[in-house]
Amino acid sequence: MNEENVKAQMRKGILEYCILAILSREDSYAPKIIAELKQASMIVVEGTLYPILTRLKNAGYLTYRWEESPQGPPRKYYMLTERGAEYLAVFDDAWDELVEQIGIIRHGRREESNENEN
Amino acid sequence: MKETVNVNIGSQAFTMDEDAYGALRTYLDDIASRLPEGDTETLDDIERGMAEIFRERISSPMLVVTLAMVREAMSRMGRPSDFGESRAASAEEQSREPQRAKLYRSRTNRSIAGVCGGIAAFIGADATVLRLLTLVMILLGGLSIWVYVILWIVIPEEPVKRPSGGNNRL
Repeated sequence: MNEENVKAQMRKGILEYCILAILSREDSYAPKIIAELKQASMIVVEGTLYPILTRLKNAGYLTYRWEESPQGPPRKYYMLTERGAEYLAVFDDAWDELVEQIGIIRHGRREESNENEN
Repeated sequence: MKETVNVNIGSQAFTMDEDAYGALRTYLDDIASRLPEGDTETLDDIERGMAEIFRERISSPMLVVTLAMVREAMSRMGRPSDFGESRAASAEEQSREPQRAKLYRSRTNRSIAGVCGGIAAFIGADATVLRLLTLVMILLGGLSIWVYVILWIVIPEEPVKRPSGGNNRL
């Protein structure tokens, strides 16, 4: 498995989390979410976002409303539901724990590194 | 000079070159076959996304969507394979499973016509035990030999496995 492949697999796994996190800050519409994810190099192509949005919506984590846009047709604004916020909190905890555990695995126990510093 | 088509993409009207329309039609159909059955919502979202990309390119409603624009929009939206496996392909995968449970006269495990071997494979029993049992029942239990002959006629012969499944004649 090459480096690109590893990165792609990892990104795919945390894409849902990122979408929920973006929407927890403010309600947003697909092209704007795409722009943000692209900036973070989380997605390469736009199409992959739409099936995930539909899946999250059907699972009850998201909902949407139609809103007039200054130019062009009305936009579909997605927002987090209460369930979505709870789900995001679970994700947040899991993420923090994962980062901590991976840190320990990669660099050894924190106590040891503290000893080295002292 | 080219013929054009008027289409509605994501509730917006566009004039498209005929070849551009054909390419877009094929593309969207391909994606539709890969999304979960009845998921028109995602497809609508994708159509709206495509419309938005075309809208960026077209400054005036008089302008026509060309094949180059469709290609560009497709590369931004992603290859159909990014949307997962085609349903037709995965359905074929699933339909291959139940075939194993079908009753055939065995090609590989046969003494006479493969009836016992086939039945044994179907019910998950040992073919030799089944053969002995049949023989004993024919000799002592009054089971007619014609039953075997009728089964021979009624049960179809197992189809030849595809080369990928290995050569089972050996």
